[in-house]
Amino acid sequence: MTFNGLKISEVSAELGGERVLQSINFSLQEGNVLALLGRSGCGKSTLLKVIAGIVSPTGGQIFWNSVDISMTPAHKRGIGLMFQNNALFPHMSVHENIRFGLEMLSVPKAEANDRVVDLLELVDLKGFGSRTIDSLSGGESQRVALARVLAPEPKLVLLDEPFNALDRALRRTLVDQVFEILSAKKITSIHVTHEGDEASLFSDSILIIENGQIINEGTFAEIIDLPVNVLSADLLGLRTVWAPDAEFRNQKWSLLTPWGSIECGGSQSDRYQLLLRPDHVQISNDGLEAIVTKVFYAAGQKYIDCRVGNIKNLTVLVDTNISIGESICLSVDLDSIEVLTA
Amino acid sequence: MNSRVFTRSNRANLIAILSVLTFYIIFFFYPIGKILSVGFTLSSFEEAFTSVSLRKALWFTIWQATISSALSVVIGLCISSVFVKSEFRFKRFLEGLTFIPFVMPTVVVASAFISVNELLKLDGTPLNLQGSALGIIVAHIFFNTSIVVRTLTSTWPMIDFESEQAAQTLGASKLRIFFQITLPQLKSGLMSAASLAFLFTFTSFGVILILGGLGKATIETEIWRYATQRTEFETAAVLGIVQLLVVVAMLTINNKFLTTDNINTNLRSKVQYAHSVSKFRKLVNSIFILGFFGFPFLVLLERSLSTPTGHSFAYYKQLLWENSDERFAIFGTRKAILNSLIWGSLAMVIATVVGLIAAYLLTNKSKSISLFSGIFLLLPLGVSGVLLGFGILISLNTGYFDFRSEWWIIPVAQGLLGVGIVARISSNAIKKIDPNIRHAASTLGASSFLIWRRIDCPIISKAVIAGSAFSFALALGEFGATSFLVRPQRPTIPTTIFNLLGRPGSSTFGQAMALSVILAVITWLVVSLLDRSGSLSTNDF
Amino acid sequence: MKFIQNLLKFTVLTALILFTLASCSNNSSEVSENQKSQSCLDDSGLSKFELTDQSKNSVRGESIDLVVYDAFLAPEGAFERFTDETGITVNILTTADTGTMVSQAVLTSGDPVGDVMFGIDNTFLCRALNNDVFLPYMPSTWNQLLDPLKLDRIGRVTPVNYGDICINYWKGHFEVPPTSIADLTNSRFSSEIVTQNPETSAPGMGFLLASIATFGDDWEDFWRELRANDIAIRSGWSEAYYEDFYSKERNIVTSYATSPVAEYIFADPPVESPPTAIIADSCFRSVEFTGILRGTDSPAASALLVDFLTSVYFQELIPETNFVLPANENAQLPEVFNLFLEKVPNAVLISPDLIDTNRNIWTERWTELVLR
Repeated sequence: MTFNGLKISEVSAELGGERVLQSINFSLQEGNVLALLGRSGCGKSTLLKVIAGIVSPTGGQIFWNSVDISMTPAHKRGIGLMFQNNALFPHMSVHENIRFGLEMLSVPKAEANDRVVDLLELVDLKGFGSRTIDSLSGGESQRVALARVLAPEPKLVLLDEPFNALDRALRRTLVDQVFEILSAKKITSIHVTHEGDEASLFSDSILIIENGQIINEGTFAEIIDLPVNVLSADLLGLRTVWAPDAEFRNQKWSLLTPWGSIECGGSQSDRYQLLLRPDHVQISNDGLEAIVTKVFYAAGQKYIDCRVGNIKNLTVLVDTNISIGESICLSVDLDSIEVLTA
Repeated sequence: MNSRVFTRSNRANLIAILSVLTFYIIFFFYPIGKILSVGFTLSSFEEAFTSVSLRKALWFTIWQATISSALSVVIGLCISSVFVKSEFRFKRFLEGLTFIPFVMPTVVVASAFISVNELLKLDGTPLNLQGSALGIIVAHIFFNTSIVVRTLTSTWPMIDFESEQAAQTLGASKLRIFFQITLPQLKSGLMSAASLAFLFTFTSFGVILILGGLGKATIETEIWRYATQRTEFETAAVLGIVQLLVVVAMLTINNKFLTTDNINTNLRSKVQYAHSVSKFRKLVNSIFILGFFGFPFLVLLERSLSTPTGHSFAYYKQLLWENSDERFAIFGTRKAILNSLIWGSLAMVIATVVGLIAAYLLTNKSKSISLFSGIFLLLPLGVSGVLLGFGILISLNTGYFDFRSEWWIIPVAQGLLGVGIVARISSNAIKKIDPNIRHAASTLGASSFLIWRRIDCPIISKAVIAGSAFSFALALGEFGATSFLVRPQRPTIPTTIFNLLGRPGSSTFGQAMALSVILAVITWLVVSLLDRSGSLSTNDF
Repeated sequence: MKFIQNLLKFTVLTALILFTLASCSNNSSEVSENQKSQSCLDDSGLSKFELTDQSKNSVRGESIDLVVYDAFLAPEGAFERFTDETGITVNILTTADTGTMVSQAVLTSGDPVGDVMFGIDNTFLCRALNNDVFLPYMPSTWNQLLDPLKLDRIGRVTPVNYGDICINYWKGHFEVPPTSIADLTNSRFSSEIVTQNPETSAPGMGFLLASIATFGDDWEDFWRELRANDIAIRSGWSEAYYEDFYSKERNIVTSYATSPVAEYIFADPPVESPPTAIIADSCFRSVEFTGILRGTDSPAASALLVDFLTSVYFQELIPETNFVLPANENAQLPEVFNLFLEKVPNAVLISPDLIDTNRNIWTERWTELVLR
């Protein structure tokens, strides 16, 4: 049975002599959105370029709808790529930029022009056709780039953090708009981002990459539920993660928390950190003493940071009036503390 | 990941490589190779270097080039420091003025300094510029200061001014800051400019021949003398080999210090400079530039109008409409002007076409193609006209390849000399293009060749036009190669000026000055009209 | 390190390519290889050109180029008369000095820049003959030409005039004028002398040869002293004579024995006798030739021109325009020459072969001594 969608098999890549991607394997169902998360320099841009065909991998294969496209040159793959800096053609007008892909497909001029006009309307840039590239604002360039990518009706669109240069509000609007269009057209897409929350909005699945390797994959909900490693937790904004004092005894690690020690198996070379979510911490009189160091809000919810035991900043979800410097007592159910690999 | 299929892109690559290589092999590598093979015998080396006058010529070549380039660097530094650190009304004009000498033909500059010598009656004084080492060095500084100024005005603003400010807050004096903070950061730009200046002064021909006269000889003029006057080709070839070695060495050094990645030009506000420039310095700078770079042209103009019966356009009339003194019938100056314009245009076309193809190869996706091109295609950049002319003279002279008497060999040689420049300017402009734009085009379906045609070419068109303009100017004023290949019935403006200067009489002298003025004006017009954006930065050489 | 490795690899590769390319074509017929074992005046096996009546008529309307050196003056109306007689138009192609003219002919041997050359002299003769520059042709006037001047017996070149290269000076300028060239090293004549570069100029070469003949191996010392005496050097005769000598900046110049006659003729206001004189003791006998350039497209028209140049009509015009003596013994000298031409008793004669063999060595040495 053929698989509809993108399949990456054992892909490795090198840049400037250095290993950038190591045996990457994943699949993406046609029509779905994949979010690629990772720190800078982890290889996510390179992965996109390999998929697009701009960079040649040193090993592995790329399949689309079960057809091996690894040998197909970039300009024949029909894969769209959106760049961080938009990379619009400076010497062409908006209209010509968008029309470029259609020219490459030898679409007759009249038809191409009509499609361009439709696309401009789609991205809310009606009438912008004759504008020059340097006269556009950040958001406008973004949308021209989107229109340009969509024009040749690619089967797969790769987005390499294209919204980075925009302010928060604009970014939010554009992200919504882009993914609305992509899903309406049932276009498969991979979105590189380092904003975990954004990923949660639109992605069907997530891939977390570190040092050229996949360290976590699944749906957003799955990873939030079970981050497994520290990096995933960091990228998804989970708090509080800290490195506890640890002892290795009898082939087991003993991780020391202010509320007791947690045991977990493993070898001596393994390292572990702990995750304690803000809503798993209760303020109760028979808890441990803690000093409030910060009070802040996130998405409208009130949180405090405390210093307790050897944890410098433990975040707690609160709903009462607490001020900085106050001394409170916190109790925690040891079972709710999660162990993450580091 | 090599696709062996003959895709359209691969075909384009192949055609490009073959056409460029054929052109290069016939008109460049074969002539130069001939020089090497003729000169590379032990006996000829021995013969050449037992000659005292040749050893003296070599020594003179070296020391005048060293002093000329060193002084050009120093003067260029002084001038640039004012340009870079201040803004004033006529700055652009003065900057342009310092650049004009560089595009001027050597015969024009030589004529200008001869006219200065005439006007100020310096003959016989210690300041005599004609037939003296002083004159040669001054003329060389005139040419090469602009290289230094151009390099510095583009690289200086980019060095870390904050380090200068830090030094200032730590108590360092102006001088200290300059020598210990600024200068080390300018080193690579200076070395690149200095190596170019050395190369140009080492291979200088027109200036030495015309301004230096009989008593001053360099390797370049000796190659010419041995080849055309004595027909002793082996000795000339030995000298040619010495020349080539110096060229290769200087190009290598220049390449090492080249600052190619100037994608971000941060325009620093003047407030950030550590010290501002005093009005006095600005004034001195402006006067010096006007005097040193402007005055010789003014004198040239004046001398061309100064007849025994007062100032008039008599010499221009004689040049263009009459054949003056019967005694010295010059072969048609009108013909010379026509030839120069036509051949210059032809050379420009050749330089642009071949140069663009070369640039395509230089920036090719395939690493091996671009590396190979980088080594071989830029060689004509440093080879002098004399070397090329000599090579063609002794190689393309038999059977099917007897090209040296054809009229078109001169524009071809001139074009070849310009190919390197167009290739370099174009490839630098291409490198400045954000690579993502090409990636975008690629993912939108454009093949390698289409990317080149639809993306690279339009974007670099301004730079290419500037390069073409420069190659036209180069061809117009070309004297070295032409002096080997020219036939009396097909003169060019530079050879006519040279002939006029070689004959006695105020009339021929005046006509020589007038023709020089005409050549200077045409050159200046072409370059300034086509190089609007001022993109002829010396980083591009 | 990697950079240097690459540079080395590249250099070796390039050198190999260039070498093989060029060595393939290196044949032994390089222009600069002169056969020095034989005399240049020997027959080199070129076939003579014969002028037929048929060809004389077929060349009407043709146009040919006469290659001359810069000081050449066309006698007024002479070439017009030639056109009237033959229907052939002559274009005068002025090059620079004799040396440059001959070098150019050597470099373009077989594919010449013009059709006929006028003015190659005996010092440059062998160089041209060794490179087969000329097409042998004996003009109809051959038997009228003075025998000693026919240095080339085969007719590759035809003698057209002769003269003596002597040191000239302004009579009025010196209380005690120089009487021999040895005098020239005297400090009285410091900064007074101008001569020409023997590499390119015929009179310049003449003076050098005269000094070699006079001083033998000590000629180098002679020139060292001349240099110490601030002798000026110009590329060609015109420059030296018309700029330095006329302006009286220099009062002693290398020129011809006939130059004083010219000065007498052109003196304004008129004078009773020539204002300049010559040093007659070390003059060099110069002979000038004309010849058809091998490879010309118009050999017949060129032949007619050579006939004309050696005809009595033209030969009688030569003395008063170019101030040398006619080679045709039937040509009459103008009276003024008979009056004022100073006799040169022992002009230096050196065979063209000897000159050719040593020319390069002598000029190189001279350049070292005087110019560098």
